[in-house]
Amino acid sequence: MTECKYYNKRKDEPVKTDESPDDFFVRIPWTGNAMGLQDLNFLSSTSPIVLIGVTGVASAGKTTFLATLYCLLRHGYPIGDYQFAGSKTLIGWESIAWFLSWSQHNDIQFPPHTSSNAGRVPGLLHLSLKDSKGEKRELVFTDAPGEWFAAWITNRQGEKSTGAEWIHSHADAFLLFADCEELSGSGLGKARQQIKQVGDRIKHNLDKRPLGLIWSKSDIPTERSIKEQISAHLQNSPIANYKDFEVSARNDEQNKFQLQILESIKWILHALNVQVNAVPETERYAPSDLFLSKR
Amino acid sequence: MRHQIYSFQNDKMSNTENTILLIGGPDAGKTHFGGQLYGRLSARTEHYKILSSPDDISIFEEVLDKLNQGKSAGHTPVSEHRTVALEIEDKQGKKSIFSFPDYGGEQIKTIVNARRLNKIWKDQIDKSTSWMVFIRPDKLNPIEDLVNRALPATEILNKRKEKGGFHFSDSAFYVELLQMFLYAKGLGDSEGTVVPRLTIVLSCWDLLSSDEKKQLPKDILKGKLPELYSYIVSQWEPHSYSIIGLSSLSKTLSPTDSDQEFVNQGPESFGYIIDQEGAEQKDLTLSISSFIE
Repeated sequence: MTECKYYNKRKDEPVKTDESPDDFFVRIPWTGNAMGLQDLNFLSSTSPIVLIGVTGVASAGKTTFLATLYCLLRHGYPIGDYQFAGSKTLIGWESIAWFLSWSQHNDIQFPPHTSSNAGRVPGLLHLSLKDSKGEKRELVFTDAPGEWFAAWITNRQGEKSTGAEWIHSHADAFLLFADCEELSGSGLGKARQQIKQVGDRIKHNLDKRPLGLIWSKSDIPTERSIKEQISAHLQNSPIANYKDFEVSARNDEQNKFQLQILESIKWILHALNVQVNAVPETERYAPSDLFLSKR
Repeated sequence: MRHQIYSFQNDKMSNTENTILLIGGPDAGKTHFGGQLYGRLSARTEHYKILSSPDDISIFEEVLDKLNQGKSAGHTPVSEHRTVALEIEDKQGKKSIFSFPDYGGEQIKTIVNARRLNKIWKDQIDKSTSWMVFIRPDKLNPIEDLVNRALPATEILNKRKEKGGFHFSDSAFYVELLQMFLYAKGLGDSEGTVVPRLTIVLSCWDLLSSDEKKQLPKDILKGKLPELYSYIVSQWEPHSYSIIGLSSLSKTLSPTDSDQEFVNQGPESFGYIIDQEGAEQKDLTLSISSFIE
């Protein structure tokens, strides 16, 4: 528990206990905070999960993306045919969404930098979704510090790259963040280089796993040619499932940048759903045979 | 702290199919509802009637005394946890147990914050086949975030210091509470829930605005707690949950000054529920009908 990077942040929480210490209690096995590896094992032992690797260098807007996603869901927005059906990390989601919520004092801010002292496995945020047919999907998002990916670019097997390597080997789908603020300013050269390099690392052994490119902070205009360069680089070798999305925490009148966040998750779910094999037809199947029709 | 459970003998319990557990935070209106419901059940004039009077009805008597004086009843002490099991039957003679707990609503907050349930709660959850969750819509804090209110300029945002004072949004609080209760009952969340059946009771309906009162209870819940609404619709099977409105007293009473109209007409003349279709029903005992039929 103490290894969890979010745990200490919650020590101001008033916990009233009127009961004497020897009383019997049912303890709830999930903390509500972002999960670690043990919790993931617990979750994946009961139902198959979709692990979505949220990747990109520091300050690219990864945590803000996740916080905005949660804010949209808690306002009742669906993801395609799916809607919110619970979460075992509600405190984790609410904590990052809290920064993007207005309080009595009108203070609102972007979530603080995700700290990089968290070790080998990223903070994991869980989400249950259910579609209109009653089919459930368990999604888990990685909330990792950008420094992991910077280290991963330099040395894939380096000591500081274990977290990024873990995400790369376990994720079912990836979102790669390209920061439009950097790409439109003096940081263009370095930012473009890093996006391409993280993209190259992800593409290694990517197979059919979807890779979505997220143009974050898209309310800041970026030259089309720069975006095309990056997009072309990523697709210089074929990617089975690739799409890009222009997103931002700020909506403007023409562009629903926030809703593109939902679209990116919808696209991942769709790409993964079509990979499921169709139920094979048996050779002896005959519609006139009532017994076989029952299959 | 008193730990007492007054309940019927087991042989009586085994004849019944329904045990209803009432769940609600502080100030959600459980106490007034209990008094009014007990009054109606024991009058034996409504759809549901009480079968035999329990040994200890002090928790209802205190409330009914106050209401008969035209005053509101006091707040249940935080640590109190008594339960009175009322054995009731409908017009067809079908029996149920309505387990009316009398506890400080703060206990509900403590369960979510401390992430554990004591033995009394565990027993109540195990026994129950239906849950009534009381939520007071006029007391909910609306969510105001970047989805429904635009962000200020980046220069202003960047100057901000880390903000403190995190707390759960109301929607997330109730979702977590229901997730915990389902876990305590030993139910997974991969299958749709049928038992316990769930009724969300939007209490103090009379305090909603006149525009809001024209809406269906489910639309009020969807508008005020969209995340909770999504969760319930996803987790419970369609015919296993209902969302109703409730006004136990039809009006707000003062704890000190008598309301003469209330005294003259008597508590039984006040209170109504708004059923799922939006119709006003004077028979408060119908609030438990969705569990039984």
